[in-house]
Amino acid sequence: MQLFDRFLTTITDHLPLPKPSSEQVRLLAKLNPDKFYVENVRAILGVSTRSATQICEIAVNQDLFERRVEVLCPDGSVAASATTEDKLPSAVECEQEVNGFHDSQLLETRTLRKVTYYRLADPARHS
Amino acid sequence: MALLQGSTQEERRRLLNLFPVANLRLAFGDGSKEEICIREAAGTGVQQLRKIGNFVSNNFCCCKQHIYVFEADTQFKLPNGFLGGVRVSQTSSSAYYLAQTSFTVTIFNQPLSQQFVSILWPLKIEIIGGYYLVRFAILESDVAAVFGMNARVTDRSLVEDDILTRVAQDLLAADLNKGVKHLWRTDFHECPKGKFKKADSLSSEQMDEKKGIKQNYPAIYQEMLLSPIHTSTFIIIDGSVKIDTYSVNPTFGTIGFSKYSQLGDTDAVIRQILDNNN
Repeated sequence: MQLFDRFLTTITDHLPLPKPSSEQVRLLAKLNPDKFYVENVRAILGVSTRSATQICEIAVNQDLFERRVEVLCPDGSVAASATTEDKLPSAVECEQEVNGFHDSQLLETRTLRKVTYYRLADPARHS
Repeated sequence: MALLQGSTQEERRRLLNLFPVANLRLAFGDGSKEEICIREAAGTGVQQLRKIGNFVSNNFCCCKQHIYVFEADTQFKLPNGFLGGVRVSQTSSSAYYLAQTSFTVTIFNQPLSQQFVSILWPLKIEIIGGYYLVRFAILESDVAAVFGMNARVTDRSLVEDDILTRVAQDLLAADLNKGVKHLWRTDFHECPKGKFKKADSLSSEQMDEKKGIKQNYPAIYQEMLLSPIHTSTFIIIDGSVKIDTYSVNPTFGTIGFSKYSQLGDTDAVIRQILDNNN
């Protein structure tokens, strides 16, 4: 919670945003500190995707957030995650439904979609 | 015009077949869809080819489509053409292209044989505000059917990803969550089938009998409003737009229209999403 408080102070200090309402603070505090997306922050603050990305990147620069990346299977499920794209495994196992059965296949990571996500910088301080 | 001038009658027939019959009748006169397509494809004069080219450009928004939306600044230039495709017409902010693709149809009879089906594939590239859109007409899915029960499409020379690599390389997919959610909040559309990302899972909700998530499961609706939405189907309830349904993956900037839009309202839906996305 302390980190989210610092996060809120940081974004209101650095960006021309109105002070977050108590409802927005409550929703931000409800985010999973180990993993959240730009869209979670955007939807709570009611800003554009560009502004939300900027906010998250400011938080990264202030060592409040860590940026990570995950690779998605064709069905949208997350297959693996890492601190940067080059640290992802070169291939991941994905399941595909064929005639009602789930068949597993090994796919090259470079051919799959990646998504950036964030987490609070110091998990030990979540509480 | 270059691709049309060198095209076969069968290629032109397949091209016209991508459009709704009502629009074909309006442009070319009475008849069944098959009759109009065969009749109009038969002509090879410059006037007739120009007429077909104009029809394709003017009615593109009525086609079934796959649309990819990218982030781009307004200085971004429309390509003159690309490997495998030529420009048919252009305005300051949009251009129509025809690409040539070919399906390999394998016929699993004795002896095994293959046929090649060539198709002229229309697409549109346009710039709307800070967005760069690549819009593909969806090609007919039953290409193999004319070769009988044992025929399957086993290869295709040019697919959407090939063209995207040529015309949208290095562009970032646009995030459309804000626009799509605004339209949901204001009852422009309702979602009967949605996927959304939680912290550690991809959650999905598929309603019975196309009931709406917002109306029937308000808690899930609220959760979706705060989450990245993945491929979901929306039913349009705003009466001003004459399209029943469409699919969208707001997180990856893709939109799909799997039904014809006789009045070309695909443009209106795209505008609504983009206008409310900034």
